[in-house]
Amino acid sequence: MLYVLPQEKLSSWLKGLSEKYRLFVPVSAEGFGPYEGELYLEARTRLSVKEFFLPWREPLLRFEARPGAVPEPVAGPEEKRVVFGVRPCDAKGVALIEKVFSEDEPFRRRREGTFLVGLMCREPGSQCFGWAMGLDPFAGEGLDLLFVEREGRYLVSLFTARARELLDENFAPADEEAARALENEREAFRQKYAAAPALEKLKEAPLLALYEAPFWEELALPCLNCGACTFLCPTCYCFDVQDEVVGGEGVRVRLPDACMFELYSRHASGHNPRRSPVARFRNRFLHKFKYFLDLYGEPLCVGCGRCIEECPAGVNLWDIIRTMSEV
Amino acid sequence: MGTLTEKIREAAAKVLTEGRAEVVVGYGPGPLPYRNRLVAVRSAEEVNRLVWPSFGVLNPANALHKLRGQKVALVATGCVSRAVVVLLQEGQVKREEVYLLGVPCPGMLDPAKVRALAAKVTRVEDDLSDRVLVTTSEGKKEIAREELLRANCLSCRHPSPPLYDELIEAPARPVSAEPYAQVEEIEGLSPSARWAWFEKEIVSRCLRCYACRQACPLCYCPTCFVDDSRPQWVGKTRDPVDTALYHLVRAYHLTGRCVDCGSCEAACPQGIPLRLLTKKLEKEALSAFGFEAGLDPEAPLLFTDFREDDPEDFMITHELKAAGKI
Amino acid sequence: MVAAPKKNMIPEPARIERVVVETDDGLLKSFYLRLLDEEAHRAFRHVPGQFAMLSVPGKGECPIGIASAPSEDLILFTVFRTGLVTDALHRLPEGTVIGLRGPLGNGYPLEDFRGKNVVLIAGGFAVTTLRATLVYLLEHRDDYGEITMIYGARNPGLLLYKPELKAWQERKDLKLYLTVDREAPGWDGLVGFVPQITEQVAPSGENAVALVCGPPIMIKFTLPVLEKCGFTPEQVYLSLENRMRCGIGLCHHCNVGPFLVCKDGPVITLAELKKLPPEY
Repeated sequence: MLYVLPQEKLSSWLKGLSEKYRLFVPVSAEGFGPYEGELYLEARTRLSVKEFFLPWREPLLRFEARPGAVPEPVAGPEEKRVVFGVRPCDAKGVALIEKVFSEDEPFRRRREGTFLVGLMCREPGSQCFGWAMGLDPFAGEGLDLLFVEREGRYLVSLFTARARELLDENFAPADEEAARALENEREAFRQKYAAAPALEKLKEAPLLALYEAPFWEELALPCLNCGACTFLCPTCYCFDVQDEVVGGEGVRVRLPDACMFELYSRHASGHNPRRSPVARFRNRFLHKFKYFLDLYGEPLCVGCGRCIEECPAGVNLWDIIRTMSEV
Repeated sequence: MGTLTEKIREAAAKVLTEGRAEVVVGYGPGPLPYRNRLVAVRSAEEVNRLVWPSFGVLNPANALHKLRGQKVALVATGCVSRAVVVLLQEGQVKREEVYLLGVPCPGMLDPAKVRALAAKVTRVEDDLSDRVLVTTSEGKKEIAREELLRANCLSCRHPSPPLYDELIEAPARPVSAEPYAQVEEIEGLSPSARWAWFEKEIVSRCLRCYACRQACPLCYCPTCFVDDSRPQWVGKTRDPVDTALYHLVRAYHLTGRCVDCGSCEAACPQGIPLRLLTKKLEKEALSAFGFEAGLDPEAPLLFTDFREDDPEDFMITHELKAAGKI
Repeated sequence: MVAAPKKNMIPEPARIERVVVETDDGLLKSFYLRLLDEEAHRAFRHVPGQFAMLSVPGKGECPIGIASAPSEDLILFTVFRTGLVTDALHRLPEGTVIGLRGPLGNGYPLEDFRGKNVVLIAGGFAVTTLRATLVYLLEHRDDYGEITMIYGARNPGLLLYKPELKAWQERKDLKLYLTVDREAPGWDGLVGFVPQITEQVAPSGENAVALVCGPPIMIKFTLPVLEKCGFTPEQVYLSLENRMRCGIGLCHHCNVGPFLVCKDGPVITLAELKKLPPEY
């Protein structure tokens, strides 16, 4: 179902939404924040919407800090949220994470309580390559609504039934012409921007050949093994679990973790199956472009380009994908 | 840039063919106009992979741990050489394991300052003259090189390597007249304003990705204090208290050791002005103890060395004072 | 046979009914647990080979193999003191309530072994889940062919379940070979490393399966012996270990290539293991 919203009605709609839901929008190039009238819509933000679903600290259990205490599960926030200005790549990232976390209660609760309203990019960013990873930005994967700005108005696609409650009287059904034009645009996009042949090659590549390939040493040399790419990535989902005790009270929390860190795979005995930085570097990319790909048919990557833009060491994901696919 | 690049390549080829090192670690072009990427060159035929890196913002001494057991030659500007000096003092590397190709440094450019020039930057031409030509989505821009330099280069007092095995001829920057200008600006704030700055600029934006720690050539502990569990010193989430503690403790662990190579700040994906913490402590080390890190591999370290006239009233001085000896 | 529990991060409260120090060096303690919820306790049915996450609030969780058979009342865990959580566990007296999440992972496909000879090979304190297996096999003795167990420890003091070992040695329907690495005063049993004893026992691979649990070095030298005895990689079962945080296939810490030890394992055949990247 396609609707039209005049561009000048956007702020009043957002204002109306903010009175009924907790509304988050891109507030700066950095990331999302509560809507207070300001919007940053020039390009995608540095931080993705991942943290609305996998927050930096998710309390799981509460307990008294004494032996024999029986912990109570923490009931998470119940309120409904709307996030506006979500780029299609970030939304697909949430959909990919959902394949793994579909039965996880804290994730489910946040997912069900959050509407994602997408905003189509005016043009691909300099490092974007979502289509190469199989992203069709018009498909609305992970989104409730998608806003496409055309000629002073927004064409708004409805992807979920529940999203109907978000629309107000300013949304009019789009006419046939507009719907057809959008469909043609989508078709043109699909013709021009196709999934990378590398993905098929990676599906066929033998696992051990990839693992034992000699190119990892050189690819990994500049890598710092920090968590920058992992934490900025809209699809990386590994987490750590920590018990935090302050005085007599304790909380068991979940927090983002990165397979790049040495501690990630270290046994209590000190043995570490991935002791070397190269082994950990290799593991991250094999997970995204082989293990996940084999299991779910798509890579654990939406081509947002953040890792390429922000990696301080100049590690380039395309170099890695290409090299891997040529094994 | 062409000439310095050629000199580096020539020197690297000689180092390899004469067997002075098995591998030369320096920088090559990166995937983006504002990034250079570390390369390890093992034969004279490959030296064309090396360039003078306008954006060599991460300290190559950090890669030494990945190449343990090999004789490594480093393209070493002032701060690279100084980092190696500290590693030598601390027993992390042996003198005969590293060959320093010294390069007096004209200063390097800050990727963040370049990126801020336009929505898209497609080319950067830096010939080490006083102007840099940047091609952007908004046309070509000619910017004064000084305006694009890294903050730590602007406050650099040691552009030339204090320790080297051979020295390449290159135009070193003049020594900075006001190395602590940024630090003094913050020192001039009231304590509550300073804390507000620290919370806003550093604590609230930190993702705990540890890029700063990983990029630092002097953060080499096999188990960082944040990863200790028995006892656990610091929480691992982005909680402001834990995050503040992480940065403060790390800065203190670098006092008298940090050479202000700026890798920490360059590595941070959030653009946090991290080096100001260690710069402040560098100022303290200089004013309280007359100490500068990384200049002399034979010299004792700041915190493993105690002198009788040190300002702190320590166990021994207390006794000596009581006995009227000092 | 197994009621699949809801997999989440919420531990079930369980009381430590009994603590037994198993080894002379005190590093291994057995904890016999009862779930506080009677119905949950009655319904707790695991497959030998599975593990559970033991939770000590304030410290964390650790994955421990279940050493009791599903028919036994109390749930048995024999824990080696080595890190933050196991150290905290070791300090807890009988009667303390801790948390338990389980059973988790896969277990041995014991139904598939029916009619076959079963060879259990255990080194050191990795014998825990093989105890669960052995007790189960003996309860269903007629379903299985010859049952052979080879169990070795560094010295006699480090053998687990000593009273039970004696009883098992006296059984006619089980061949139990106990060994220690070196001669020891008061020990008149076999002397030799587990791979060596296995070679001497030479169990036939004909219509048999071998379940091997032990330190990497033991496994490394035992596998060629089994191959010589005619065991194909499909007939050899191993149990993997790895660092875990969630234990339910989400956090991804325990991956060995595409294989999640907590979800796809910990039990794996040698044939399957050979297809995985050697990062364990």
